[in-house]
Amino acid sequence: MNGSKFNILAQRVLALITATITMSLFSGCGNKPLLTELETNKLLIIIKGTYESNSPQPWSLPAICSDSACSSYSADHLNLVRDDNIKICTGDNGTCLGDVNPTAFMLDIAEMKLVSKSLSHFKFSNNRQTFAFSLNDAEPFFNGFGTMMDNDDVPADVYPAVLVYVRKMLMDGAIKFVPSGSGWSPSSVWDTFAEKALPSFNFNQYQVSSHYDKLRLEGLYLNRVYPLIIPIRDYMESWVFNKKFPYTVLEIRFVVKNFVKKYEYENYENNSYGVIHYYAFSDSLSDVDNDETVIGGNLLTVARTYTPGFVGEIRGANNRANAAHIIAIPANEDPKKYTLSSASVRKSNNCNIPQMPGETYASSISHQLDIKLRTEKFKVDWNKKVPSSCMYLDNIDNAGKAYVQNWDSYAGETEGFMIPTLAVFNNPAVSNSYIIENVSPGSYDLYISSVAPTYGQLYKDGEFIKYQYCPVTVTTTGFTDAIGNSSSIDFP
Amino acid sequence: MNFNKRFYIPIIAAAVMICQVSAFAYKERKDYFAKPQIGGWFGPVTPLGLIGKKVETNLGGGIFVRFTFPYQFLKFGIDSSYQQFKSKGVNELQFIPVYGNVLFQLPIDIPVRFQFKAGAGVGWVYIKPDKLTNWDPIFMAGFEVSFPAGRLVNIGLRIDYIYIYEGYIKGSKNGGHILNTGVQLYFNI
Repeated sequence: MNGSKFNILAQRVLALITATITMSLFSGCGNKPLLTELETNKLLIIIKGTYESNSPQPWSLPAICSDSACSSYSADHLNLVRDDNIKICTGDNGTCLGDVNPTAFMLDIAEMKLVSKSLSHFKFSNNRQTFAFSLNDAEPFFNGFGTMMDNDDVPADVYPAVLVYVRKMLMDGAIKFVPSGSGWSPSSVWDTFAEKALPSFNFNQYQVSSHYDKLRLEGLYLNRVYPLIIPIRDYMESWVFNKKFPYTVLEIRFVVKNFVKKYEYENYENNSYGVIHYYAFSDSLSDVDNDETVIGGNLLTVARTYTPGFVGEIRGANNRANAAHIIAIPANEDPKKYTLSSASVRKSNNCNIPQMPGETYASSISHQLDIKLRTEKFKVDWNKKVPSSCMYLDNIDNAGKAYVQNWDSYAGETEGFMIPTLAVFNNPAVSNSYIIENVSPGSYDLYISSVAPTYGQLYKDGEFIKYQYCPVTVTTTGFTDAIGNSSSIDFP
Repeated sequence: MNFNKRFYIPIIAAAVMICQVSAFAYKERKDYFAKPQIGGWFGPVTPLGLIGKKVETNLGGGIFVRFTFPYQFLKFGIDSSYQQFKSKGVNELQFIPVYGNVLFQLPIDIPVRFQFKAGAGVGWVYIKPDKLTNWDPIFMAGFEVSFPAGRLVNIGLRIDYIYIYEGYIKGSKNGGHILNTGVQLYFNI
């Protein structure tokens, strides 16, 4: 190839390259810096362990001992923290001493995914994350600030739900009581968290199903915690993620604070009989009976989103005498979705009949005899309940109908139960003014509880009083109630 | 004398030609590599730095052409390739650079050719999950080792560093650093 031809070709190619670079420089005006976009996260995930979205009630876990020598358990511990599923090692009258209060809550999450409206899953947080929280008010997880999680961004879309794959949930303070000559002798129960052995207990294994699941065929494959499906209840019933906003916060709350109770189950491992006490979430919603190991249906969660800078707040005064929760729910929504119809929905179910003890391979003679005794007791209890309270088998036409209806209405209440997206705690003895923060613009009905919250219990129907001038409309500049008051939402 | 001239001239001519044959052979060996070249490369492409934390190494490949300047050891090349970087999550980066570069071959006479190169061009950048694209200017520098294997074929190894420049865009905090490595096969045409 001779020199002049090459020169012409080279000049033409160089000109082309220069033109392309120049064009790209000009076309870059108004474009987004893509590599910076790849790294910046516009979506923040915050998890909280409280019923309230901000200003939570302080920890009020009762002291376990009635005196400094710990000669007996305190009345509050026996009434509020000890669940009624504890029948063997009750702790009444100074028996079975050795239990301790829990001090830490540990969480092990495998990953999180977002579900879009077309039901495709986005692996936006594909890392395992472990957390350990102390059960006190200094912990951001429990004091209303929340803890941030690791995540990537997702495409701009509408997302109705988030999936959280919970591997483990542990609390310390689990004790195993072994019968011995001098009574029940306690020892710590050890479990593994983040590949370390700790004196703790992973109660997540028993949250996989609830008692209600065990009554159905679906119970064979249903898993309530892996993944844990949390609907994102925003004002528009879904979350529209828009990348125009610099940040969007997805807040996921687990009800842990003031909701911890002690449970019991029998253990025949290693040919030694023992009774294990462990701490898990209160069975206020899905009651756990004695002799039952499954505690599912009690992991209460709620998720909501808001865009910082495009939120308002609701402020006012609690002029009542009692400490109370103030909640804000979407306007015209039925408040019964947030309350229970009775102290135990399961015990009020007429068809809550005893379950036959399962066939297990007993490892010792005493275990085998226990199974036989339980089977006999089951027959006695069953005959007491059926058919007087549950039309189960006495009428061939109605056989099964009442049973199905009763459990369907039980499921309708427990599966449809919701935690309010916005809630605060207010104690007028400290200060009677409250603020509900980070409220997305919209119309809300406000309610205040007529009674002070009881440790470990959810509110019942009728315990919420509606604000008289609903709905309260919130904008980014302020709020107004139905009669035009824009300064303070007060509960007289 | 006439008889001697006629006799010796062919002998001298033959001797000169024999000597020149070897000289021609030397020139041709160099010439083959100095011909225009076209080929392709294939190998691992690695994101470095901050974007290396978001996306992972993958395999990439490309094609290139080269022309030699009148000065034998200087070449001009045009290069393009396709590089897709995925991650375990939802992040993804697709990159198609198109650039011109100048190659300088070390002028030492050994069977292996070392070449240093530097150049500039544009790159098409596409990110997921944002699903945004852009044409950004790029700058590159690299090094090549080539083994001419005959008159037609050359086999080589390359290592290139590409820098994606986004500083002129408002809001940009960093550029992209990408390392291309691989084997290449190219032909003298």
